Formats: sequence, C-alpha cells, structure tokens
Amino acid sequence: MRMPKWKGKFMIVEAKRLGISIAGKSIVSSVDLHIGDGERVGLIGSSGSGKSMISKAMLGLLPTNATAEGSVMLGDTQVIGADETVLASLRGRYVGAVFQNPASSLNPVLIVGKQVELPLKLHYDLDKADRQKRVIAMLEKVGLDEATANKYPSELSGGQQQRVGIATALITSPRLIIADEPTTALDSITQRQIVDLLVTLVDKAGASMLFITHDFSVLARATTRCYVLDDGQVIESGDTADLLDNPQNAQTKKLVGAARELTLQRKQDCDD
Amino acid sequence: MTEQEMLLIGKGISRVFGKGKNQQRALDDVSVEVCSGECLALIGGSGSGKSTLTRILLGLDQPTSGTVAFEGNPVDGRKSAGYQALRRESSLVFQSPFTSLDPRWMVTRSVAEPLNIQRKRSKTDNLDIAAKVRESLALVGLDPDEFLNRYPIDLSGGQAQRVAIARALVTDPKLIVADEPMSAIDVAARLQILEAFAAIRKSRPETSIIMISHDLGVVQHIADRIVVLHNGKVVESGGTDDVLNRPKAAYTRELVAAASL
Repeated sequence: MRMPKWKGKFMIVEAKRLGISIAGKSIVSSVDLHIGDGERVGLIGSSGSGKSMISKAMLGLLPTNATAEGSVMLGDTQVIGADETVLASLRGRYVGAVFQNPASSLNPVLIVGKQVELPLKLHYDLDKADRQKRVIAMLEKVGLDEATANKYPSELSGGQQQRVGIATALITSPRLIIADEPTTALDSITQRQIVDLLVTLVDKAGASMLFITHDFSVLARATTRCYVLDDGQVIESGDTADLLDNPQNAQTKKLVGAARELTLQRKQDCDD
Repeated sequence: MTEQEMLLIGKGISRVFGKGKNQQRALDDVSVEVCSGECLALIGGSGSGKSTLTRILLGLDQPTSGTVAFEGNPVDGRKSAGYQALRRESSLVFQSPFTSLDPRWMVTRSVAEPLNIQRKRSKTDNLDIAAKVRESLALVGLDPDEFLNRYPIDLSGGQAQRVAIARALVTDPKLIVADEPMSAIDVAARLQILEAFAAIRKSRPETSIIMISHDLGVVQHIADRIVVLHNGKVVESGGTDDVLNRPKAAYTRELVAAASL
C-alpha cells in the first residue's frame, strides 16, 4: 500500500476540509486532521460539537441523510463517497471501532467467543481451530479468562463488556482504532483501567488510535496529541500536555478548567 | 447529635435478591445517617449497591433486614408515618435529565408539577406557584424569562439537569437525593451542576443532600461527609477532608487514584 507521509511517518488517516451537514444544517465544517503511524491522537469537545460525526465519517457510517464534502483518506483509500464494498473491506481490516456503550454495541444474543470471532470470520480465511485459538489469546490480552467466551454480554459487568468491545476491535489487528467515548458509560476506576488497557494494546500492536472524549483528564492519559472541536470546527490543536498546561482558546480553557476542577486536589500525597 | 436530630437513619440494612443458588447479596449490614443540612456523598463503582441503598432509604424498596427512620419515624411500608413524611419532604434528581423530564412539557410545567400535586393533596390554594418556579430556576442559575417556555429539546444537557434540580427543590424539601446527577453530563457542564448545588446549600442551609456518584472528584467541593460503598458493604466513611487526604481502605485509595490527574 502506498501511503502519504507526514514528518517522515506514514499517514494512517488524513482528513482535509471535511464538512458534514444533515438536512442542510452544517454539523462539521472544514476540519483538517491527521494521524501518523503509531500515534495516539485525541478529539475533544463538548456534546454537540461534532466529534462523533467525524468518527462516523471515517468509518463510513454517516447517517443516510448526511452529506459529506472534502476528503478523508484511510491510507490510500478515499472514504468520502466510497461505495459499501470498499468501506466494508476497510472496516475490520484497516480500522476498528470501540463505542461508548458496550451494552448496545455488543450483540445480546451472541456469546462473547462468537462475537470476538466474527470479524476474523468475515475478513480472513482461517480455519475454525485457528480462529478460536486467536479469540482465546485476544480475550486473555484484554484480561478476560477463557470461560468468558461462553458467556452472553448480559452476564458481564460494564467494564468486562467494554473489554469484549476492545477485543472485537483489535482481533483483526487493524492499523487504526477509533475509540468514541469508550469510557463515558463506566465508573471512575473502570474508566482508568479501560484507558490504560487501550493504550497498552494499541501501542503493543503498533496501531494508531483516534480517541474521542469530552474529558481532558481522560485525554491526558490516552493521547499525546489532540484536536479541540467546538461547533463543528477545530479551534485548537497540539501536544495534549501543552494544551492542558497552556490552553489558548476560550473553549479549550473551559474544558481544561472543568477537568482540573473535577480532579482531586489533595493536600498531601497518600503514602502508597 | 441525638437520633431525634438526625433526618434520615438507615440501620443494619441488608438486601438479598433472588433465591437459593441465585441469591445475590446487594447490601450487607449497611448503616448510614444524614443530619439536617448536611451533604452526604455516597460513593461506589457500578454494582456496589448505591442505587439499591438509595431506593431503600427512600422507602421505594424494602430491606431484607434492617430499618430506616425519617425524623425518628420508621419508614416501613406505604402506610407508615415515616414513609408519608419522607415522600412529602424529599425529592429526587436522576442521572439523565432527558429521560426524567417530559419532552412534551415546557420547563414551567415540569418545575411546577410537584407543587401542583401538593396543592391538590393539601387542598390549599395559597401557594404562589409561578413565583416559586421562578425562584427555583433563578437559584440554579437559569434566567426564568429565558427558560420558562422552553422544551427539553431546546436545552443543553447541563441546562436540562438544572431544570430537574429546580423541580426537585421547588417544594422546599428537607432532603434532596441526587443519583449520579453529573454522570450523563459533559465535563464542562458538570461545573454548572455543582454550582447549582452549592447555591442550594447556601440559600437553604436546612436542606440535606445525598449525592450519589462513582467519582470522588465531583463531590470533593460539595460533600461534608463521604460514605464509600464496595460490594454492598461500607468500606470507609468520614469527613470529606479525611477520606480524600487520608484514605484508609484499599478501595478508597483506588478511587482517589482514579480521580487524580
């Protein structure tokens, strides 16, 4: 595959002047965004800022009444205007997705083992024994034991369900993981575990990640670089740590301020 | 403080769901007290028993063993004096404002509803409902003139949740229970919710608040005391400062780490 380069790195995603509108109403306008090989990049903004629409555009999953303009390249494939067969071969192979609510993104009538196996079955020509071996190995990587393979999603906790979601996204070793608010529905301890797990697995696989959130404290843990979205436009971008220390835009300041305010301010470190 | 001065007391509460092999102990010998005018935070992860405890404290579910008393009167079944007083004197704020507000009702009608019900019940007509609605909205930081005639769909998540809070405080209750009022809300808008609760504490110092959350970060500025629940048991309780700065239980330390940047 011939891929465009940026600063000597292969470009995994490149969006140029991406615009999305629904029923004549502009949702996203003129967004430029790129993710290099092996990068973990954040997309942050409050609800309604257009974050999810951008991720949907990258996955070719925009609602049917939406129109997109501009360009989104996944490697050397143009996603905007691509037909379903092209998109279907990208999803799973090139790009995997982890969604916000595992309870609704997992199939409730499919046991975990079958669910994680499905992308392998659809995209690769492997025999059953080989697939099952990979499924068990993948479950172990996300911290679930072999017995989980025979359980239904409803028998798992929210955190375990999200681990299954991550396993399903990573089983085909995609180049890019799009994680759209993967921790928002989870409690605070589980949130941290899931973020750390995603970061470790993505790095280990040498993949790239687009991490979408409204919470800077999650973003700081998950990404090295980020884009701040407000009202469908990128208002600021750069190194995540720099943005957190020295936000320029008023909206960025608001998001950073909120994250700081809601983070524990302790008088002393506890001795553990 | 003597038991009579406590607003709400739960003693030795256990709740077991299911029978035989499928038996699940959701709460195990949990005791909590809420004093008048205090803000108590109930903290725990998913499945820790927070919501079950809340339902029992509000008399909406019966404990398998243990007792609940409101202002000294036992809350024991719908006919009990404690239950009746509790329903009159308490109100709830739920996690998602968009499912707890009627989408077909304007803000003014939603906020006025508890008062309308009270008026029907008590058959008194001397309530100035419109004035109370305006006062409540102003207290949570929403300009009545701007918001009275809006529908939930025209509100942001933070605004909608503040309408739900205005509805909860419009009857001037002795107890407001907020079940994860910030979990479904954007981080930036969570601050507005916190400010609304801070305003309530300031202008209604007698009102007690139980704030349920999984996140120590959101309750640090608002709670006087924290009770940490884990697997249906109280693993730690104490003043906010103590729990945050000198956590004793291993689980609390995990919570502290999860809420730190």
